[in-house]
Amino acid sequence: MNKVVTINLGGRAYQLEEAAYETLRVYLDSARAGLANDPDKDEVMADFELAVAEKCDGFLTASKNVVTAAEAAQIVKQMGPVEVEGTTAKAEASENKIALAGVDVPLKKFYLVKEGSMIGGVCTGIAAYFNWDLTVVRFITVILALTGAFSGPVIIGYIIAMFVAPTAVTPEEKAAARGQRFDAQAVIERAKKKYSEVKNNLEQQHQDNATKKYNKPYEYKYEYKYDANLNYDRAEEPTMSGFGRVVRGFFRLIFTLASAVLGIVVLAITCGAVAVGLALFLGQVGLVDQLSHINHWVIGLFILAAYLAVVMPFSMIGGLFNRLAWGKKLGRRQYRGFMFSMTLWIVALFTLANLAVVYGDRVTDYYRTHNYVQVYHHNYCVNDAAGGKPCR
Amino acid sequence: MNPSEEFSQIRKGLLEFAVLKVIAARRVYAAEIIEALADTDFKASEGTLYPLLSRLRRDRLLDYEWAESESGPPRKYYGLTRVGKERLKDTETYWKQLQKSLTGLGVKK
Repeated sequence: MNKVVTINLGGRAYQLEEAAYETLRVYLDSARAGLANDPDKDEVMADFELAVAEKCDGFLTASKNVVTAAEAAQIVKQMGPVEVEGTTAKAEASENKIALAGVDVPLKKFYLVKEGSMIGGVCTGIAAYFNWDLTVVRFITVILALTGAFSGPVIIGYIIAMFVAPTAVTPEEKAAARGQRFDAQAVIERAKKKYSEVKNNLEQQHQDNATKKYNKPYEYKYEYKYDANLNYDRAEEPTMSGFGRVVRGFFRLIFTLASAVLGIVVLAITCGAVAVGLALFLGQVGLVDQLSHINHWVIGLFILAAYLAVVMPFSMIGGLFNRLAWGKKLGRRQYRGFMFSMTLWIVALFTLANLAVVYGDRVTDYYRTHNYVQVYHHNYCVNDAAGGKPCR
Repeated sequence: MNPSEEFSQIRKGLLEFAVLKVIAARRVYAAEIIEALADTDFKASEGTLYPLLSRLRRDRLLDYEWAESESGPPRKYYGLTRVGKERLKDTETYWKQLQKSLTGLGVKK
């Protein structure tokens, strides 16, 4: 009883045993890697898929609709290794280069890495590219973004990188983002390395447990199972160093404090706005008397708009800090919330501008006709030497 | 037929010639080319043939058109272009010349 995987080959669905799928996928991946220098790579890959599809058809009948592992192996054998003309020459050349340089220089390229990213994948991309600790990169980026002289370039650079740099989607790109080779051999090497690490860890752990429990060493064998989805990129997320942990704690503290301060500011402004609004509507403040020719509702709208215009940026930044502090991802919901806040903010600013245009003149006229400005001036500018008479 | 590895370089060099000849005879799709070559010295699998076809098409020696198949996905039917036909003719001429040179060599006078 084997699990069955459904795949799409040339627009038709095929059902394969899991192991068969694995065989074909490894074959097609290695084919893709072999065609890396072919400008018509995608087209040839589509041809390969169609050829696989036709061969699968050969194994399927009305009463048998699943391709078995043995059949997949046969298909791969029939297809033969992908030989591109000139590769032998090239392989020799690169071997010479390796012999001369002593090291294989892998293809390295900057990609946005979405795995474990918070905003656009720029920091994760940088961390992958230079093989740095992700937390340190984030920390430095945020500090620079908050420091006067660098904030502009860093923020603008971040946004540009977000739009300009490609995202690592395929396994090749994910490997290139880390500057790792991507061919069948390299993948197998990495898988083996990962396996031996996991195996050692597990065996060690079991041995320790057993020693503790029975006071004698214990043999444990971990059976290797090939990771069907080649999730080595997730597995190879940089493990956090001691320094990283300290930095992360600091980072967390700073952002928590910042978001708390912003939260208090938002709360204070909200209380203030509610108090002013209530006071106005209950007629407790003289302003209403003086501006009584303007509808109360308009004043209410003004207060609401002013409140939103001030509070929205605070609450957006506070929310972002809070998520950053606890390493939470920005998902669809956060994005929607952000867009909602942003819209509210813009509407509020727009309303304020409108009110200013429509009522601005009336308010100015009111003050002018009531000599408010002069009165204010007289009261304020008092010359003590002249015996309390107004200034001239 | 000698299936040994000794002459693999010769076969590799002549595969393009063989493929052009198969396609010149009639419009074929990839599986038919493989079938036609299967019983010859030029036995090739998809892994070798597809990159070669892609290169020949890029060099404008051949072209293809899609055709529905009665069972399964549509197929690419390959045919030679004018350039491809010329290339085939040139290769044939050169092949004959090669044979002549080789026959002429080592003959005691």
